[in-house]
Amino acid sequence: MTLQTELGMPLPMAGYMLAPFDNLADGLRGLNGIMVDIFKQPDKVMEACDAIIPHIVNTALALADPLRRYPIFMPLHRGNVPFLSPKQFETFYWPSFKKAMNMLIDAGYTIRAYLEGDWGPNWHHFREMPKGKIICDIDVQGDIFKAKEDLKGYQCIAGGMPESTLILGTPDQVRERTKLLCETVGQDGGYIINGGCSIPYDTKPENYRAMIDAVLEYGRYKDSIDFEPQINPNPPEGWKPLPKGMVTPWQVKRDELGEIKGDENLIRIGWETLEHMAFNWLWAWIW
Amino acid sequence: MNKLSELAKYLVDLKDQEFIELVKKRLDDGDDPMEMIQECNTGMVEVGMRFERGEYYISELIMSSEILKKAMVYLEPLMGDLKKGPSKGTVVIGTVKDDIHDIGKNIAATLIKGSGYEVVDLAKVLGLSALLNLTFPSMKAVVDALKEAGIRDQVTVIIGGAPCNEEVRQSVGADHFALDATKGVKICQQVYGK
Repeated sequence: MTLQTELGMPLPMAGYMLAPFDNLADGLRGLNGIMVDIFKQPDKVMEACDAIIPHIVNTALALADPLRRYPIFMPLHRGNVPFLSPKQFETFYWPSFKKAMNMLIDAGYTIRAYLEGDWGPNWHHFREMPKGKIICDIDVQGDIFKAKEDLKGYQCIAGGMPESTLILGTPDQVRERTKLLCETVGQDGGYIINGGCSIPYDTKPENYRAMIDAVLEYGRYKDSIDFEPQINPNPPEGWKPLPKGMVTPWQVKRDELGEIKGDENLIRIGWETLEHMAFNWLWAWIW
Repeated sequence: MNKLSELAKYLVDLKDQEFIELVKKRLDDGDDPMEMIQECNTGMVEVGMRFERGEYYISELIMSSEILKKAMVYLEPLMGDLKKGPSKGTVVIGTVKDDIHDIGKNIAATLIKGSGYEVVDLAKVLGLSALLNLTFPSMKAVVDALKEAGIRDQVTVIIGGAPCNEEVRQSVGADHFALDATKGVKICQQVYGK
């Protein structure tokens, strides 16, 4: 936040969501639970993933950047090999995930999908999504060069600098790696240099400096920066907002209260605002 | 590779109903529970090998260990003092300080147990598991502590989890690194010679 307010640096993300399958697995069934579920009750798993979508999209939109500058973050746990086979991924993980992502994109947002582990067999699915709306963070276990081949022209990729090199390596090693990345995956745009996940806390400062210097030397598309941040407080035209999630709907409370003298809306508006906040707070915990 | 018994085959093929019924039937017929557990161990080793070959994924690993747990409900009470059969050796494993992630460790511990080792304390093999790269200093601290206690050469240290690689292994002073549970089992087999 300091970097943003005092130095004008953009945030890497704002707001978050899990894939519906991850939400179900991590937050509700546990790892052992979900793995048994996909063998013993596969239909219910898919139904549950679909049922979760409106709740998590609701919460994601509530927490996202109101000016739509920054992408919504998604740490994606079980979409990697070897947790699920590619066939299990296509059956259980992708369909509800795609629906949920599309709902966020329809509301005018971009997405930052952190593909934890090795998503190599599965990331080609991102070609099905609207072009240029997603940054795919490619983790250390994934092949960043293959990711560029598979996603070039479709989505942006980020990554390529192993965290262990930033923490344990030398400035020369960092410089060499940066040069390689600029000359390969950095070509034709659509690439952000980064650790597999992020720049680690323990990065040696001289290594970070070496990376920045190497990018400035080898990674220029042109010499000027003529980029305007895109600020957009409004959803796209024709977008229909989702019904707001509530813990206890007003109607239930109203029936409990019986007769209300005076303007009911005075209470209803306050009630619904707090109930919507509580709803989002609860759903934000399920992961 | 050992030949799989019918019991082991049901386990490997994840046929949980048939597996449990056969366990019950064989116990009724007076079969030796220790022998049945050994057969299950063989099955788990086969599951691990299918995982290595990329035929099975973690989903199948977990499903098989959940099925095995169900069998142990019937078999364990009959073991009495004998525990789960002769142990091939002891392995200690834990998640390193400052990390909270334990899924990889649990999977590794299950597979190592399933391959016939006792996973407790006082051991020749020490496993350190992590997901976060800020744990490298903690791992080094454990290895240094072993040196200070004068027992470093009595213990084989394996580090595991996503951030581990050869560079990390050298830096913390571990003997091996393993990126998945079946590699961990192989290293234990090397150390204990079986």
